[in-house]
Formats: sequence, C-alpha cells, structure tokens
Amino acid sequence: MAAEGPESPVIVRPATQRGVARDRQPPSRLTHLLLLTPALLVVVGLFGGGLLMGLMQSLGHIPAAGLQELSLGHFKGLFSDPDFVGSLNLTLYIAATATLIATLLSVGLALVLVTLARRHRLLTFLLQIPLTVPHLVVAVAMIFLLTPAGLFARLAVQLGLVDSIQAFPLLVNDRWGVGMIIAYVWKEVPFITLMILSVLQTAGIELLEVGRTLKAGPWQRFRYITLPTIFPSLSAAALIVFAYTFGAFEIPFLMGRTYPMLLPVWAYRSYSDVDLMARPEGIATGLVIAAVVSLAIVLAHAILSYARRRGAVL
Amino acid sequence: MGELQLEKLSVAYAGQTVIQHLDLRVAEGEMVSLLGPSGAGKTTILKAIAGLLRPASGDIRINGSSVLNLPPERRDAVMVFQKPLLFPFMNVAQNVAFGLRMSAHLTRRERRQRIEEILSLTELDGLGRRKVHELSGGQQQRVSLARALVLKPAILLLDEPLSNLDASLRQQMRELIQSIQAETGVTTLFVTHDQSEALMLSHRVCLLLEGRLRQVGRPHQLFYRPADPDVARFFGGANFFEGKIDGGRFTSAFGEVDALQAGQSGTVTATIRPEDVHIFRNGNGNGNAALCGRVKKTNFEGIATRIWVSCGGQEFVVLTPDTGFHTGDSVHLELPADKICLFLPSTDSGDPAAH
Amino acid sequence: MILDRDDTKRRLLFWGVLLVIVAAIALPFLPLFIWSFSERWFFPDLLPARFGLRAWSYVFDTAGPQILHALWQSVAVSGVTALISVAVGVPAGRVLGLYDFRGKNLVAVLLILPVIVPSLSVAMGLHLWFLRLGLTETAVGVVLVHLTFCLPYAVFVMWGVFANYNPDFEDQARSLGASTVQVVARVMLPFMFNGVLVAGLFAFLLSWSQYLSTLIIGGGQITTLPVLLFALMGSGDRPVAAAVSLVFVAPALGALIVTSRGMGQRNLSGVW
Repeated sequence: MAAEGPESPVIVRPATQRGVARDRQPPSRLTHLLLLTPALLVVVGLFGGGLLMGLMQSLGHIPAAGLQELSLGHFKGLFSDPDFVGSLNLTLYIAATATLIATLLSVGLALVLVTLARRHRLLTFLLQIPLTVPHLVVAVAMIFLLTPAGLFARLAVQLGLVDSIQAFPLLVNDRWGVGMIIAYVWKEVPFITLMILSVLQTAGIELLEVGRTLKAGPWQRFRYITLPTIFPSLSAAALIVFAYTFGAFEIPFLMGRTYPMLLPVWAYRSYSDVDLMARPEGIATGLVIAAVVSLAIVLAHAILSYARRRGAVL
Repeated sequence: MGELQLEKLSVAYAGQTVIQHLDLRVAEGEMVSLLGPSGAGKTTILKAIAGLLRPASGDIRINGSSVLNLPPERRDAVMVFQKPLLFPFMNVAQNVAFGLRMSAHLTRRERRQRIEEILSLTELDGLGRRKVHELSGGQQQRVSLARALVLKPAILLLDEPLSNLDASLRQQMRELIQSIQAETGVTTLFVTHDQSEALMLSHRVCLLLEGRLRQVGRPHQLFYRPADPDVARFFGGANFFEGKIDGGRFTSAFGEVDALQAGQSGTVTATIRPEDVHIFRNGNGNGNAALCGRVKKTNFEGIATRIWVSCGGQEFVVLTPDTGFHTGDSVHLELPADKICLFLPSTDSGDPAAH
Repeated sequence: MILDRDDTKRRLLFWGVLLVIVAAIALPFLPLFIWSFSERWFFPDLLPARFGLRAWSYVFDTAGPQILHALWQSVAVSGVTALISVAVGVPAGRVLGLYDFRGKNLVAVLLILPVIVPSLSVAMGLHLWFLRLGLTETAVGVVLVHLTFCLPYAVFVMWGVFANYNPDFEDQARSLGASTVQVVARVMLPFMFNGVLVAGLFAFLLSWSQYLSTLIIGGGQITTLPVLLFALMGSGDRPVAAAVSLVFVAPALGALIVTSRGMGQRNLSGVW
C-alpha cells in the first residue's frame, strides 16, 4: 500500500504497491535499463511524441501549410469562447458527478461483498462482466433503455406512471447528462469495487479484528481502519475513472446534447472539420483535456501528501 | 484489573470443535499461560475471549459477569496478535493512541501523557513519530503491546507475541513482558507453544493437548509432577516404567517410593526425568541388578550429553554433563526415590484450583 | 443457535446481493437482446409486435463479409497489441517489481500518464507524424497508437505480479543446476502465468474497445468492430445496431470466461 512508503508514486495500481521492493543484490544498472527500454521507448517516443507533435500543431506550427511561427492564439481563442468554457464546465460536472456516485456505490458494495467471505468468487466473476463491455455498447444499450421510446419509458406507460411519451423525463441528450452519468456509473462501479475489494481481502480483515479488540465500534472501524486501508487504491481508482469520464468520446457523442457539447466531442468535431484551419483548435482542445486530467492528479497528490504530513489518518 | 473465568467453554472453528469443555479461572493480577503444540486451538480460545469468535457453548465471565453477548469492542479484554498488525497508515504514537481515541474520553493532554508513559514502559521512548515500517521486528511487537496496555484492560490476551522474533530478542522481550506485568499487575492470559517461555513467564501454566486442558498448575508442578505421561513427554520427560502399589508403597524393578495416598493398589506407571537419573561407569553397581546396562547411543547437546541406556529390558534416557560415556560402555543407573513421579489414576493434579 | 442464525442471515444477504448484481448487470443487455430479434416494435408495447431474425440475417448474410472483416481486423489489431504489451511488459515489470533504483518514481509517473491522458489527445498529435511516416490508414499505425495506453497497463499488471514474486525460487533452481533459460522457462514463467494472462487480457480488451484513436489513425481504412458499429448506429437501424453490439461484446466476454478459470484470485480490475 502507498502507506508503506512515503515515496510511493503519484498513483499506482494497488497491487504494484503491495510488495516493497526487496533489497536484493541488483543486476547492473545497464541490465535495468535494457529491460525497461522497450517500455520507455513506447511511452516517451509514441505517447510523449504524440503529445509534443500535438502541442506544436496547436501552437500553430504546421510547416506543411507554411506556418512556422508559434503562438498561443488557438488556446486564447478557446478560452475566450464562452461556449468552450460552458463545455469545459459541463464536462467537469459530468465527470465529477459520475465519479462521485460510482465511488460511493463501490465502497458500499465492496463492504457488503467482503463480509460474504469466500462466497464471492461468483460475484467477483459477475462484476467483471461490465469491464469487458465497451463504452460504445454501453451507450447503445443505455439509449435503448432510457430514451423516451426506450424500455423504461414503455414500462412506465404500462404501469400507468406516465400517460404519454412526452411525460417521461428526458434522460438522454438531456441538460443534466443523467443518461451519461448512469452509463458511466454502470461501467465504473465494478471497476472501483474490484480494486478496493482486492485490498480489503488481503489487508482489511486482520486489522479489523485488531481494531475491534482495541474498542473501535462499527463506524470507527470504517473511518479509522477500512477507509485508510482502501484509500490509496480508492483514490487511484477514482482518479482513473475521473480521467476516463473526462476524456471519453463514445458516450457523450451518442448520449450528449449537441449544445453544449462535451469537450472530447468538441475536440473531435473541430479536428475533423472540413475547414482544415479548425484542426489545430481541435488538437488544442485535446491538450486542454490532457492538462485538466494531469492537473487533477497533481492536485490530488499534493492534497494527499499535505494531509499525510499533517498527520491526518487517510 | 480483572478476573477471568471460562466455564465449560467449547469452541468450533471451520465446523470442527477445537476446544471442548474448558474450565479455567485466571485470578486478578495473575499471569497464566496456555501452553500447547501448534494447532492445539490456543488462539481460538483467545479469540473467543476477545469476542472475535462465538463459542459453541459455555460461558466467559470477566469480573463475574458474562460477556458472551458483548461485541469485542465492549469487552474489557484486549488481544495482542502474533503478528504486530500495526496500522500502516499511522505512526507509532497514532497506533498507540488508537484505542484511547476509540473509547476513552480524554483530553489531548491526558492522552499524550498516557502515551508517553506507555512508550517509556515499553522502552520505545522517542519513537512516537516514527513510521511503523521503519521499526525493527522487536520494536513493532512492543508497539503492539503498548497499544493494548495503554487501554489498561481488565484482561490482556497475548497470542504468541514473541514467536516471530529471533532467539536473543525473544529473551529480552520475555524479561520486558515479565517486568511490565509485574509493574502494571494486569491480568494476563498468554498463549505459547514454547515451554521454556511458559515456565519462565507464568504464575500458572495450562497445558492444552488435543483440545483439552491436561494440567493446570505452577510451572514447577507441571515440570516435576506431570499429571499423565503425555504431560511428562511434552516437557521432555522420558523413562516410563510400570510397578505395583501395595500397602502405600510403589515397587518396581527399578526402584521403590512411598505412595502418597494409602489404600491404593494396582499397576501404575512411573517416570523420572532424564536429568534426574544418575549414571555411573561399570555395570556392576551396588545393589539393583536391573539398573545395570549398556550404552546404546550418545548425543552431545552442548550443556549436557544425552545417553540411551538399555537395562533390564527397558530403555532409559539420561542427561548428564559428563562427556566421558561411549557407545558400548557398561554402566549402571541410580534413580533417586524423591525424583520418581507416579501417575496415580485418581489423583487429579489437573485441578484448576490447585495453585 | 446463534451461529445458525448468523449463517442464515449471511446466506440471505448473499442471495440478495447476487440478485441485485445480476439484475443490474443484465439490465442493459435486455433491450439489446429484444431489439436484435424484433421486426416491428411499437411504443408503448413492452415486447415487439413481431419477432424475427431480420437483424441477425443482415449481420450474418447481407453484411456478413463486412462484419467478418471487421471482426478479423479487431482481433488482429487487439491480439498483436496484447502480445507486444505482454512481451515488453514482463521485463519492465520485473525490474520495477523486484528492484529499487534511482528514477523509479519518474518511471512510474511516465507510465501513469498514458493511462490517464485520453487517447484522443495523443492520437490527434500522432496523426500528422504518422502521415509523414506513411503509417496512417495502416494496421501498424493503429497498433502503435493502441500501444501507448495498452502497454503501460500491461507493465503495471506485471509490476504488481513481480512485487509479489519471490526470486529466491530462481536462486534455488540455479543452485539445483538450472540454466538461465531453464530458470525463466521452468520457474519464472509458471509463476507468472496468471499475471501474464491478466496483463494480456487487459491490453486486449482496452484495444478491443477503442474507437476514436482507431478512427483517427486508421482514417476509416482500418474498420475494426467499433468503427463499423458507429457507422451502423448512424443509420438508425436499431435491430441491426443491437445485433452488432452483441457481436461486439461476445468475444470479450468469451475471453473473460476462458481466462477467468486460470486467473484465480486475480481479476480484471484495471480495465474499464
């Protein structure tokens, strides 16, 4: 767990943090480098290269079009556009809400599942099913379920809850992104739950027994033992979910409104615009998404280490 | 301070009865050990007392009142586990403070003072702000102990807290636990599979074999007056031989003793500890011909040498500091009458009240 | 007795939780199934007025070759991506899981970023570069862009696996006379088997569900299943979209079922 070492990386999957690297006699530095090189090559070369190329283009450096100068014009343009700021806010709202709801549900679910001890092998398998379903399919299924002509609306009419198609609340392409949030929650709850569950199973139970004999009541055990135990993986999972919901394309493209559209849709729309000059703006939007997501992580990390330094039990 | 009583306690674990009809009383301020081989169900008993397991039947009383229906957090018994199980997300002081924060309503200052006291009692002065993974194994175990002691529990339950430490550290920790217990007077029930630990630390030892209490008594009693051959074997006893009791006197081929209880008669088994047997060179000793024999094997063990002697159709094991014996030597033995122990059928040395 | 009561309560809880989870997981699949078998379905009927196989015969006959081609492209792209991810992930995971070295945190941050930063940001930037290299509209280009996020995932999984791996077994094998190759083949890989399986499955599923980055780099020439499904969604034919959705889900689900036996305690947490 991250709590084992103060130098744990920003966020890392919990499994990777469980074992403290053993202090064996290491093979030479060169061997390390050789074994890591292919992975680093892909990350630095392709990922870093991609971002860098994107940055150059969004700064207006497109030699093929005879544009050599660098300028922040595209970024300035974006942020002075009230529509863009509206999109940014809406995207933040949807990602944050979906993450918050999914996190709360997951903690509850994991706490119930862990009390079922050995019986949850089957449940664990079932929970993995949504992980294999692509977001695209989730969007399609949710549209069939939630639109005014969808299964829920039909059911509501049959049960006499609403009397016409118009009376059913708008859940897809709606103002508050309810459908999108439901779709994301369905998809991400199993992910977060499984991540916490693996930590709870290995670390939680013995410590809870200690807590009980040290006079901690049920709520205290949750607050002072369970929560700190799952916190590193919970926050990591929540950040991953936030980052994903902030930058995913399929669900907002199929379930979101055309105005204001979510940032990933905005980015792609500009990027694929017939007007080639809109392309740098699309790339700039993509980079804004990347920046927000990275900022979220840095911020979370800073808050966390500050809290730890202050001695907060998290 | 408190008194602990177990009445006809039976505990099942994973569908199997591990402990059956256990009766035990630990008096106020007493230090009692549950001794038994690994897998004898010792930890199960502690967990039942702590409230982490529900006994199948029987009663557990702390200071006279049954705690069966109390959850662990409301029982005045604190358990220290075999592994330190320190909360990794808290530093040393926070770990020690845990129980106080959960239940006792102390001011910050009082709490800090209690922690300081307990840290110094457990020889952890100045380590309060350390991270737990920076501590050595012995320090971690001491934090675990301090974390329990700070609550001043009526009953302290120790589950083999020393078994994960290496030998020299273990000796230091034993002395520490002994002095802390003497100083605080906390009623302590502790579990161990190490006989020397049990003998050294406890006021009374309870030997647990196959889920049953086989003998309870002062360390000397169990060591020198075992209730049955199994108890004797557990403490390294050997040399079991049979004889007859007649007219208040035990007679056998190897020795005679006054039996304590008159009016008994019949065949009984007797034993003598290897270190109590005297061994002499020359097979033709004075007196008892049955005790003349030959050395079959010797094992040098450092402080003493273990010698297997066959004589009179019986094999005797002798432990002696004399290193001069060799296989094939003819020797004779002497069994001092006051060291011969009889297993009288109805003498109940397992009486818990016999201390 | 109290024990029994606890047990009954627990069993009830288990069945309750099972019911809720099964219902929640199955719910979105329900309309997909019904739509894919419907030929006429009026509002507000709960069931179609006429069931039929039109959508499925479209999927397997009319559009059969097209869908088969998409299926093949998806399997090829995701399979190759997963293979490379594992092959690169195992050695990297070994170094990260077993040893501490300077700059390890930097490496961790470098690996976390591609997991966090959405693929569309990277794909848009890479497009121009790949255009110059002639990698756009090729499967190689698509695999490369998928690698940017699949590979770090595989490394993280293997990192976790190696962090719980005791290399003393290797020393033991060596002292028993095993060569380096034998140590890797007979000791390390058997220990790693489940981990490699999970890492491979992670990478495969991540790549399998990619739409936008495939579209940007593949330029519509690499029509994997998601690309095709998006096109079909645009046509507004609900039964066909439902059928194709199910075709899209099936292989991933199959992969999960096949591997879940071998995965034991590990699970898929890490793929979404």
